[in-house]
Amino acid sequence: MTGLESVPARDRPPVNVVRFAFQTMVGIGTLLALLGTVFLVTWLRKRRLPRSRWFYRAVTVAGPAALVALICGWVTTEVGRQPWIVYGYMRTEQAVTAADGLEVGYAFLVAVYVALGAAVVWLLRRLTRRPAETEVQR
Amino acid sequence: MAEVCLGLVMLGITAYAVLGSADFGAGFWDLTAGGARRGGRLRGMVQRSMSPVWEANHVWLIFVLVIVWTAFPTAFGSIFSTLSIPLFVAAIGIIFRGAAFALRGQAATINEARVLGALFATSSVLIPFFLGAAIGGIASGRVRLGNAAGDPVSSWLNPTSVLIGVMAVLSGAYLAAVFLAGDSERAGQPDLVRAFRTRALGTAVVNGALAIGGLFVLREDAPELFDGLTSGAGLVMVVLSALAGVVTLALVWGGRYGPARITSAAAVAAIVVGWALAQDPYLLPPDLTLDEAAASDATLSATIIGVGVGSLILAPSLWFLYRLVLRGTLDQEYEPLDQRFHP
Repeated sequence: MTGLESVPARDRPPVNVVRFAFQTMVGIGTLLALLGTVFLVTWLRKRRLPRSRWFYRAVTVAGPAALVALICGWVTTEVGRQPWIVYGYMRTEQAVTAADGLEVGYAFLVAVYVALGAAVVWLLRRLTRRPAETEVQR
Repeated sequence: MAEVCLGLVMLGITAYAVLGSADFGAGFWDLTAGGARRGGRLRGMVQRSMSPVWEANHVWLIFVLVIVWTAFPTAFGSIFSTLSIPLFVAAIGIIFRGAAFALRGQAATINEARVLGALFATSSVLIPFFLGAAIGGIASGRVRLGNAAGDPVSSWLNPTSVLIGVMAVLSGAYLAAVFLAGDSERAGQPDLVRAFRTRALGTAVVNGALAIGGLFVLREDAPELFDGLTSGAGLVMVVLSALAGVVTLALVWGGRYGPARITSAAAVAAIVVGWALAQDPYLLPPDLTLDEAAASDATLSATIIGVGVGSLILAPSLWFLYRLVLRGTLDQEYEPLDQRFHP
């Protein structure tokens, strides 16, 4: 295995970001696999759903956790490739736009995503207040 | 092979200019429909027509982006760095437009519906304007080769850009009015048929006048583009577009909205193709020709094969969607948009 020392310091990614992102991804993935195993074993041995409240709490957490794992995986590949944008061919500083106002654009995008997040929460809360829709027979 | 890839790009732009801008045009009529009660019937029709297809037409925009950045990477970099402002605004507009349209369906009060409707409709006007302005910057030779090499403001805020931006908004409004008149007829709403017929005829005249007046703008501001559009193959497409426009006018006048769909789309498509022919052989006039911009042959052939394989999935599904829409299978019950707020 090639160690990090074999790469010159100027070609190294921010190591700790990559490390923690990778560990979070693997950790969550392992826990999700464990949760699936608990369900499968219960189903195969007892032919019923698990009864523990903790199982259902874990299932509720599994949804957002899967998304966190996904994003951590993305951080691992994207940050792990730095300082290259195309590994071995083009460095990120060569690829970045020369246009001004990059910060303004990013700040605006953050505001947009916060607004969208708020809209989604608003929408989900509204939907939960309604009786569940049933398929209409034609 | 560069020509094949350019053909694919033009196909995507044409489809987006016809189908996507009709979506934006529907938003234009939503915006100008008047107060909540008066405009409720018109907005209900817009909502009913757009719901089944909704955001599907953006597939063409993504298609164009992907082909341009794989097949013509230097052109893509130059365009997106120089025109970052209008393209950013258009992208944000697309996000807000889709979100507001979806959320409006869940609005509980007329005020919520009004705010979300205004956001949806305003974005529907801003997006085609800024995309058109970006095209104006390319066509008038203001996007220079290199990383943000063109002027960040005057590349899209200039006579040609404003002209093409306004034309993009109004041609979308015209297409939408023709399509919506046909939809209203199928929904059995004669007053809405009349309303959209009037709007179609009105915008057809405005578009025609704008196209003729626009030629004078182009002669001053973008002489090379003007020469391309008034000679050779470019001229042929301009004449074809004008002919299709006149035929559409006659069809809408006679209330034949089905065939008018096809001829109105042809009028817009001819202009897009005419633009490409007018600036041939340049991709970014005056700096970059098509052949200079093309990626290596391996990339181009991989792109073409990829599109071929992808279209095996995309083409039948889009065909199926549009066929269901045009046959009325996906038609929903018509309801004025403000109706559910007046028990």
